[in-house]
Amino acid sequence: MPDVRIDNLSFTYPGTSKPVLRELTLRIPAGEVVLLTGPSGCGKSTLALALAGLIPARINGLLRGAVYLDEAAIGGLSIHEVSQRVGIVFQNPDNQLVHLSVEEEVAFGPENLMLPAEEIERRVTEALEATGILALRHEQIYALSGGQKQRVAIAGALAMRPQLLVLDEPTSDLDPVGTQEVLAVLRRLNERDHMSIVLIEHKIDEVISWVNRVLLMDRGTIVLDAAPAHAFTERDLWQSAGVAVPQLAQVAHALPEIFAGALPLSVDDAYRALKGTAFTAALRAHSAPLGPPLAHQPPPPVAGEPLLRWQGVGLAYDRHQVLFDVDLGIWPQEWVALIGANGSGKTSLASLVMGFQSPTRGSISVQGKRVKTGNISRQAHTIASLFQAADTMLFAGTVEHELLFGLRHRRAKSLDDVLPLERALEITDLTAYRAANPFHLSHGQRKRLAIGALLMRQPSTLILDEPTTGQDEGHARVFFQFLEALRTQQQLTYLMITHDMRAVARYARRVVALRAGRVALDGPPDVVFARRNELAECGIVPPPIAHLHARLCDDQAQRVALRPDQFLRMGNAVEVTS
Amino acid sequence: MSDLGTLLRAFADSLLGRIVISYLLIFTVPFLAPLSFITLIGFRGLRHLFSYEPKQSVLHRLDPRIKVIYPVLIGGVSIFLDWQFVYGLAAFTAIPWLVLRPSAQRARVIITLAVVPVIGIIWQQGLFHTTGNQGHLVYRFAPTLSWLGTPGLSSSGLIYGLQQGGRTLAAVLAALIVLFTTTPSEVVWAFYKFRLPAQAGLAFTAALRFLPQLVERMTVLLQVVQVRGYDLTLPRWWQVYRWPFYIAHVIGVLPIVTIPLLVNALRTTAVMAMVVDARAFGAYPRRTSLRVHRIGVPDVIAWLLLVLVAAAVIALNVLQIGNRQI
Repeated sequence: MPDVRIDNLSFTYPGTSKPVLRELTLRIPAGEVVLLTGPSGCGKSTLALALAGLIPARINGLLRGAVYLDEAAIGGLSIHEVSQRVGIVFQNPDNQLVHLSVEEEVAFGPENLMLPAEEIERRVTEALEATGILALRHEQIYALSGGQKQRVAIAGALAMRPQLLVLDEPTSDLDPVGTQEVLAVLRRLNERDHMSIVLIEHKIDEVISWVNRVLLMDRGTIVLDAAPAHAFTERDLWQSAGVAVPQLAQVAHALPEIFAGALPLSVDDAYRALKGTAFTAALRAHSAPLGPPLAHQPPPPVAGEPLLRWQGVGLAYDRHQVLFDVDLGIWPQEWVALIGANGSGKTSLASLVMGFQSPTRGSISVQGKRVKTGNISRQAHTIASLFQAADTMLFAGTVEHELLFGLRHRRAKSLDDVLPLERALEITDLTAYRAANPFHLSHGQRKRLAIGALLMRQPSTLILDEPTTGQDEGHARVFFQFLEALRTQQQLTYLMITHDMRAVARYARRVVALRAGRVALDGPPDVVFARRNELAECGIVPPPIAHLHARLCDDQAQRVALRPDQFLRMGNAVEVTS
Repeated sequence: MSDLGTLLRAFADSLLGRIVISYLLIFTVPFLAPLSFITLIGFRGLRHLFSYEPKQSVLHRLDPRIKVIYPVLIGGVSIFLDWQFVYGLAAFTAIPWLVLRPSAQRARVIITLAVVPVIGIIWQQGLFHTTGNQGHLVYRFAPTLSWLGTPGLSSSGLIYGLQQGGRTLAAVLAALIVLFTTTPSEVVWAFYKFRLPAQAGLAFTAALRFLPQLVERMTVLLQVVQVRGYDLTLPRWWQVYRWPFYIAHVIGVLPIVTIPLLVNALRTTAVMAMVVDARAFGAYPRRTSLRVHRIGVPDVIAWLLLVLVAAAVIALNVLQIGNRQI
């Protein structure tokens, strides 16, 4: 395995004056697993493209410096020569799989290298074995889950026999189960085959325990390069980059007498350090014992009828049953998180209430009125939906036109029930940009604009579909704070579909976990996250701090802490700020 | 009853009756074509439109080169045959479908793609293939419809449409066999064996791979515009006053969703191009293949059948039996 050496690398995209990479110098020894993290736009993906030789071979720009694999400069190699040394895997598996079947996809690279059929066969089998999908060899790609598709993409890269694997946020579009599948494969590749891996990832909590090195990038340069055990000592660096320090690291900093400078990299590490201590005794004393199962709907938080109601709802596509007898109510001004593995029925449940499709049995009502399927624009008057890719929700040439888009294209032209334009601009903090092109705004501003456009018809409820997917912690936090303020100000109700359990713990007031089309858990986050084993059956891993709390109480705590400061308070320790 | 018959006949002969019947004759087929498309395939069914259907059948195992040649040959020979023989050819192209026995979903796609265009062609030629002499008109339109540019429904036009329709039917039935039974990599392999550029094969593969995604993105965009307040609510059939608004909105939404759809497609293409580069596509002028087709008995039989069809068509033309008259 060769060493990777980055020597004084700078890169500027055409049409811009600011370099994305700035005089970056780095050495990655063979067999090392490097976590590369940092805020969105800091240059991580550009560095990945440079490592894979796609910069400068396929992407133009001003490049200075060089990347070397041992003594060979990548810039001097042809792209197919680089591809046999460096494999690259991108974020969205659907965009990077060319063929229809798993075998064809993995064989595609070796076939291009003009290898004999026996050698292609050997490589395909090895790559499928390494990624744990040999049994899926003859499957059609469209029938696979997100995690399986991403493993096919990794197998496709492995079939080229690279010495270095670069993965650009390979789990950001995946559910917790898919994320674990992909991370387990990477771990096995490194442990068994000693493959060098550069992993670009925002989910630090989930990978920190097995990487060898952490690189924090900010504004095109590496601002921190340390072993995981020492990576979070300088917390100011992480805060200024807008990247959250792992929750367990925050706990370790607040309890130096217990951790004695050793940083727990996993819940297991933290559990071993805290077990039997006075802190744990206090924590257990503060934790009420576990109550009965949570499968039934909790009592309504306020009196009166629910705003959204699913009654005996079932949904099937041909012979495939997606939802089974779902009874669920959401009351005004609740912030409900809908969680579960991919395919558990979350999106279907939300799409029924928007009127995108009709249930095969049962009924759905909004504000006491039955939802009419297909009458979506009218439904948008009471309930609106923020799609995962908010950019797809923008159609107009200016911010002002964007906000007025829906009003111009509706049937009734009355302006009595709409939010005044000035007020919408004020709420979204876009008054100064009213004449700007929406696509010239920042990512956060575009998200706010999409929400502002939905608010023009003054809906009482917003469905938020993965509102911060692919965003770094800092940007996500800012957006959630905006949503929280908006909810209070406009008295909105939120139904949030998400895989981000830290966001659920911090912002949701109620959690509904689905398992195979049925409501498995329903309650406040601190109660639901105490049910570690039941959550595991739903394909959910609770946030590390909740997980640790539950384990320290032998899974007998009725409620668990959701944030490090709560956890420390319950153990009578000093409070920390994240 | 006879009074009613007389009354109906009198109405049919009146100017108003002729106008009503003329409009029905003109607009029924254009209305039925999209209706049958929506009913039999639907928007969700679009993703299965040209996609491979995995199955264990002799046609799936056949040499991909035969399947690529097959629609080319059928399309070619149909040009030289007279119409009675064209329908014989169409019947021949139906045989593989009987062997294949596709799923109900694909059967609906086949019926829609093969039969609806044929009906459309017959109707269109019946209306507009009028050769000056109007003695062959099956129905003469009311003079108030002269602005349409056709005097009526012509028998010679209908026959001409039937001939052209047969050619279309044979070609479509043959082409769909390739799409439904051949994986993209087999098509690429066949292209390679025919010494066609590998890029053409890859383009074909990519198109098949991304068509379902394109349909899904379109579905999402249509949902997005409606969530943003754009009214695309389908009126009931009796809400006649709402149909013009609905049609105008359907037309109006196309440019709105097309740009984001294109932008998204370009982004996807950019990623895919990088992936294809990273897998060394085009590194060498030739490429090998994991699965190399070995010629078997079914392949020999299929090749022989194709040669027989070609020879039969040549013989029919040489002997002036089945050669094309018009």
